Amino acid sequence: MPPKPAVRGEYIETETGNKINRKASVLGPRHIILAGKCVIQHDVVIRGDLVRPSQPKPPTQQGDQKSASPDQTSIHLGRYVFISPGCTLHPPSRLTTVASPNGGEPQQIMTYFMLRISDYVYIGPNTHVRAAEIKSNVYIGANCTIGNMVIIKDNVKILDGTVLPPNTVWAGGTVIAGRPGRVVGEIGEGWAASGTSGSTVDEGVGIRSRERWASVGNKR
Amino acid sequence: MALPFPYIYISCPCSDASRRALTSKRSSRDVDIDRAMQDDEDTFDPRHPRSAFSLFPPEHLLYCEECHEIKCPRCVTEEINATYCPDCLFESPKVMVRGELNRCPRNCFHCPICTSQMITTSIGDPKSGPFVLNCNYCMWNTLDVGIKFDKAIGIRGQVDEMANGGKQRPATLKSPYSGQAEPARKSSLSQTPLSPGHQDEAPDAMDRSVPGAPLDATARFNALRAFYKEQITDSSATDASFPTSALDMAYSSPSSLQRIMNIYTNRDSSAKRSRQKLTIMREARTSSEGFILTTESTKVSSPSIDYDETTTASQRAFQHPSFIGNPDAVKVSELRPMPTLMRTKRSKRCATCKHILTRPDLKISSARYRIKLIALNYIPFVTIKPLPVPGGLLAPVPDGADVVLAPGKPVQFIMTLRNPLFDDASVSLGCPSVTPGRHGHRVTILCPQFRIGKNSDAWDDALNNPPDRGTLNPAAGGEQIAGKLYDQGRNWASVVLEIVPASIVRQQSAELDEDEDVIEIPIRVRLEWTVTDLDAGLERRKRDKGLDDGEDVDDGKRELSYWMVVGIGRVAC
Repeated sequence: MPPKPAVRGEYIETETGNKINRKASVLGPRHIILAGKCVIQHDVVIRGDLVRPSQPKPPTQQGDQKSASPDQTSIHLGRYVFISPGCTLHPPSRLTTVASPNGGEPQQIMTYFMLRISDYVYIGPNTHVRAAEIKSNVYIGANCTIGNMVIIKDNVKILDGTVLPPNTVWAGGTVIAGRPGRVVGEIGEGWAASGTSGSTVDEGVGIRSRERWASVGNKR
Repeated sequence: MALPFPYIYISCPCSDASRRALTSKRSSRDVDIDRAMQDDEDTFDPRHPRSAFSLFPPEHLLYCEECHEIKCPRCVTEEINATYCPDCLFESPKVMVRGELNRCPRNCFHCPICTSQMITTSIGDPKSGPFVLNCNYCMWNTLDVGIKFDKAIGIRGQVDEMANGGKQRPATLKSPYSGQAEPARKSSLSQTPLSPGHQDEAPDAMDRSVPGAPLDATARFNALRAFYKEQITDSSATDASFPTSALDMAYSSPSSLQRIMNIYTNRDSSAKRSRQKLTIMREARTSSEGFILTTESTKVSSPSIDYDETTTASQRAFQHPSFIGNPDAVKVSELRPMPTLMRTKRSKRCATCKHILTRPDLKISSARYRIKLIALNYIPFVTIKPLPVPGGLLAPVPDGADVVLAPGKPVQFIMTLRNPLFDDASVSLGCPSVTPGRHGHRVTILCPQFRIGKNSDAWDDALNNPPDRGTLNPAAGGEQIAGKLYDQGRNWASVVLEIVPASIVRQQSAELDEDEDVIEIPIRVRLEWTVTDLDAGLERRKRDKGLDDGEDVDDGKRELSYWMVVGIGRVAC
């Protein structure tokens, strides 16, 4: 007997306020941390299964999922992170040289690192993210490609259709557009909350993120 | 219209010509009021060609606490606090920035083909190299132009060495000129210019030692620069009113401006002086001075190049001759990677009262500000969404699609204003019933005057207001009552905005102008509040003591009015 659709909402809502669409494919959820009030919309793919194999063990045991320790995080999302439909979050990777377990030649293996996204980050529809770090108050438009090991600093706006090549670093306070991405402008001082004065003043990104979070969810 | 609908722009009053006269004379209040009323009467037209210069997104605006005015990027002056490389995020001291010609002194380079950041990669042993710079976007690398590096660090230094023909770059900028070329230049005045012997001077010798012509361009740039600098020094040595420091002076600094103004005011005297001792500045004419004749050989080579190998204008513009760059590159193989241009952290001051408005944290890694007086802390933050009625518009989805309204059909929007102030503010909104421009869309604000509460602790909301807010207007979805707020909260209030879009009738031949179908509504926002803050009280007392001479005493009453432009959507046509 099929479950009643009325009971099952469109979103899974957690106690910390995360809203995860049931149509999103979240792989390896044990390696994913959501800090709260995150929204993950439909058709989002999150590759939490691509995690760095625990270091002392040889890679032969990596298929053993039970051995995964809790500190192995592959994707970390801060508060009020909004992932639009059709996005892919993929942990960055790099070839690293490791000593062979049986004392032979050192070999190069593909190692996955953590994808760390801070607070108030918006990621537009159909954007592919493979960055190493995305700091707070970053807006990424639709149909962008954020390459492998990219580092994006605070207060950055990336316009639609931008391609950021792998291994690039993007300083804060800028507007980035184009293929390849280049800095096309500066964002204003009022873009994001200062966070120093401890005031309850809501500023641009904060309000928009909160409203965006509030606008999705199960219909009641 | 880069922003998605609905968007908000705020017009800075600084571009208002009548306003300028108003601020200069603050003495009589009556005039002010007259002017202000007159101001209010003529509606701001967002489509006027001049409007584009005064409209800013709210987050770009600052607020000066001394002038009690909104400040746009045009009414502030900027000061550089720190210079850093945007790729490696290292700060450079000022002296170093000048010496390195405002480019990253470390390993950061940009691809000459696609301008993307380049990555140092090894093409041999991962530790010992050799290394190349690789572009991860277009896959160009420095091997394509035959550049390899022995070490993975200090790439800039290695490139500098190559540019100088295997020698360390001397500390001064005049390197090729003041170095080996010095004797030749000294004698250049006595010799006939362009004598054949000159063709074999220093830059040419350097040319031979390093393959490829582009390196010559750098030497020539430096030689020309040094030559003209000296020429100006010589010719203006007698002219006291034109100091040599003018060559390097920053035009933004007030003292330099003063000096420039002196040149103009003392024009008569300086003209007399220059007539007495006439020195003629000559042009560069030997190759050691950076002069070059366009010979046949450089022109002849061009027809044989494959079109795919030629450079684009933007690629040539990217090649700056002050360094390794080759702005005359004809072929792609003549292009060189360019070091990253530095960026700055800047603090901003009010241009009229010199009060500091923003000052960033000096640390490069920090995105914080020590002082930040942004307009959004003083003016209400406005958000707009469609009224949730059956058959109405849906909330905009973030897919980049425009909001399209049907002509002739009334649409209602909720406009929410959030008060960032710590005092209650009374707001009045004024807007023309028909928008200016070719297509008059009818606009009605159902509740143009209201008060919004102070921005206090978020807990007050829960304590003072019972959680049944939103029931203020139980008839949500039905007819909205004029003169009544749609909804209200601790520090925010929502009003309903009704729009009847005009239909755009188009002749067959007439093309629609770009964004002509966009509905933009000018709204005059007028805020009044009384400062009860402690700091303001202190300030007030200080003023009361200091200024008793007829200057109007600061009673804590504040008033601010400005034009806001709301972009709602497009009209279907």
